[in-house]
Amino acid sequence: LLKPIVSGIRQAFRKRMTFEYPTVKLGLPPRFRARHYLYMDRCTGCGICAWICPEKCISIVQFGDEGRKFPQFYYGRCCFCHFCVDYCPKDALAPTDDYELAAYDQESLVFSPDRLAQPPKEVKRAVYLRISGDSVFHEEKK
Amino acid sequence: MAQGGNPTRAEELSGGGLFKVLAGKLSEVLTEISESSPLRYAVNWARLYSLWPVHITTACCSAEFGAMMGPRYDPERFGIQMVAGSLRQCDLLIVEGTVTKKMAARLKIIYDQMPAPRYVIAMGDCACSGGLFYNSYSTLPLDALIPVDVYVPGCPPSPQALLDGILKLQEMIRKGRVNPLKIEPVASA
Repeated sequence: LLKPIVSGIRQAFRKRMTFEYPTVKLGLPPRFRARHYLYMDRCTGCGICAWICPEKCISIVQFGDEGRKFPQFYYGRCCFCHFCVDYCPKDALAPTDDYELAAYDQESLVFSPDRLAQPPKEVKRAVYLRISGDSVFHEEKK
Repeated sequence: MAQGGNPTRAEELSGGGLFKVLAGKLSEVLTEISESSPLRYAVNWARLYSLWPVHITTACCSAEFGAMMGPRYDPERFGIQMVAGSLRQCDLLIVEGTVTKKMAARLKIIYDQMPAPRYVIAMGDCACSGGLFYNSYSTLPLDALIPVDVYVPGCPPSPQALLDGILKLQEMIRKGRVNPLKIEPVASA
């Protein structure tokens, strides 16, 4: 009879599991793959990223006054395999942790080079909670 | 009542039909009133905090949907719960995964069963554009079938990304109009 009461009381003093998402953001695992960041000064427009992309979501477009060529991403099809990051000979593409890509229409899923070159907002992320018995996939180093 | 066939116009008006016509007029008048007054903010507020989702699972995105529904992200804070016993009590359709040509007919049936203020989230690449199967013979993008309100890209999107999509949908409802047939999509920032 006492068992459920005791476990209920123990539950009340536990740490809270829920993250209040829009205000508190959960820490991400290392090498988390989300939107790309484009270094416009390094990119040569060789097109290897468009060639290696398994879903062919990258198209090479002319951009800017000088008419240089840059990749353009259509995130409605990108599967975030980041082959393009691995294969880039100049390391012009880099992964960021900006995963909030939800949009109201298809046009805003297309990321032109200048949108890719914008650095993501720096967000404070909460440290992943260690709860006894749970497996922990990430703990932030201090 | 005419046996077998459809009821005639007179029978319709004398029976439940008259009531239906009157109720239709009344709801028209009510939406007119609520559209042109501050009441529409109250109606929108009530709607956006009671989204009941129905999810149609065809691919791996359902695992992330399950994670989003769990206690760690807890969408009940925004009034989103899996409480509905029937499609007629739901007003949010989350399509997780590939829409094949055979699934399209079933998807259309599900969409038509939901009552009028209904919103659609295309979750994952497959629903957004076909994804990995974009040039397959048997897949369709979701927006070729039904109007989509929010696209959540990702393969699959993380639970936080899906929650972000739901928050953006709530923002759209807050700014939108009361009559769901006239909803205009808000320009994204």
